[in-house]
Amino acid sequence: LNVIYTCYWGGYLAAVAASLHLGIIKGKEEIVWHKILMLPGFGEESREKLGNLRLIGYDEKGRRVFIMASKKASPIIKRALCGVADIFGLGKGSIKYIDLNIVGNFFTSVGVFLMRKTRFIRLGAWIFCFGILNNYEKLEAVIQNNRDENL
Amino acid sequence: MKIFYYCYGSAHTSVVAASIHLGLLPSNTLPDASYFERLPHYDKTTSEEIGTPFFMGIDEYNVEIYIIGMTGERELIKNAMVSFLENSGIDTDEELMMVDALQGVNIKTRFGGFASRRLGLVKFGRPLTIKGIQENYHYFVRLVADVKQKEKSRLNIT
Repeated sequence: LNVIYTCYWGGYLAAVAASLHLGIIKGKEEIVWHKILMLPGFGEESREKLGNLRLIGYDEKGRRVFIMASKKASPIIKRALCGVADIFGLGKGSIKYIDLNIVGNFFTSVGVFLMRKTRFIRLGAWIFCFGILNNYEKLEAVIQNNRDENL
Repeated sequence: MKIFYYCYGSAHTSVVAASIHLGLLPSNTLPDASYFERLPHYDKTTSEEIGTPFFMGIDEYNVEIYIIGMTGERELIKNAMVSFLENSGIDTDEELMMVDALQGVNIKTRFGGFASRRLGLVKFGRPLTIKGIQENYHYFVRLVADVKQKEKSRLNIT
């Protein structure tokens, strides 16, 4: 069973959500710039590999937790993955696909821009964290629902 | 093995390529408009269905043929599919063939597809898509011939 967290570039909101899901970071107080920069998969991306799944770990239910980039094609990717899972006999229900673009905001976007396009990585990470904390309850609810759900 | 023909919206070029592959369209003559209009999924896929793989049939080598729409994010979506299957233990070199059918699109098919699928002007757009496909029909025939060659070599058929 696979849990796939996705965001525009795959390595930002999705990486934080996957780490929260797996308990690598425990909660709001650990969303700080120097910690998130160390998270597995955080900020990792390459143009050729956009869309590739990156395994972050296994949760307490034995489910594999992945992150991936989906840019603006998230609903299309969801349909494609559920479709091929069914076609190859893996079962439509073998995928829990969580689009985190819904928890992004102006600050997370600015933070990601600074981290990706400039040298102000620490500043970008700080602004990104500020953005996440502004929407933390929503993010936590998404992760909690998914963690508690039996696939 | 399964073959996926992909294009922008799984409504035109992928349907035509898959149909030639399955013998629903001839590969030695230019079919008239009525052939295209009768094809399953031809100029019918809605925006909400893009990304869903549609089964088109089984070919002479017992291989399942599908079509899928990937909008302008073809590389991204292809990567996602291949990566997911490989992570699920499927050997995609053996089990999967992805074929880009959008390379054969021309301005008439593009414009007709936009008019029909996006603007809902089916009576105007559909005949235009067919006209465009007919003008480039030889491309799709060649594409399918290449695919079948590769398919045979993967299946070790001489």
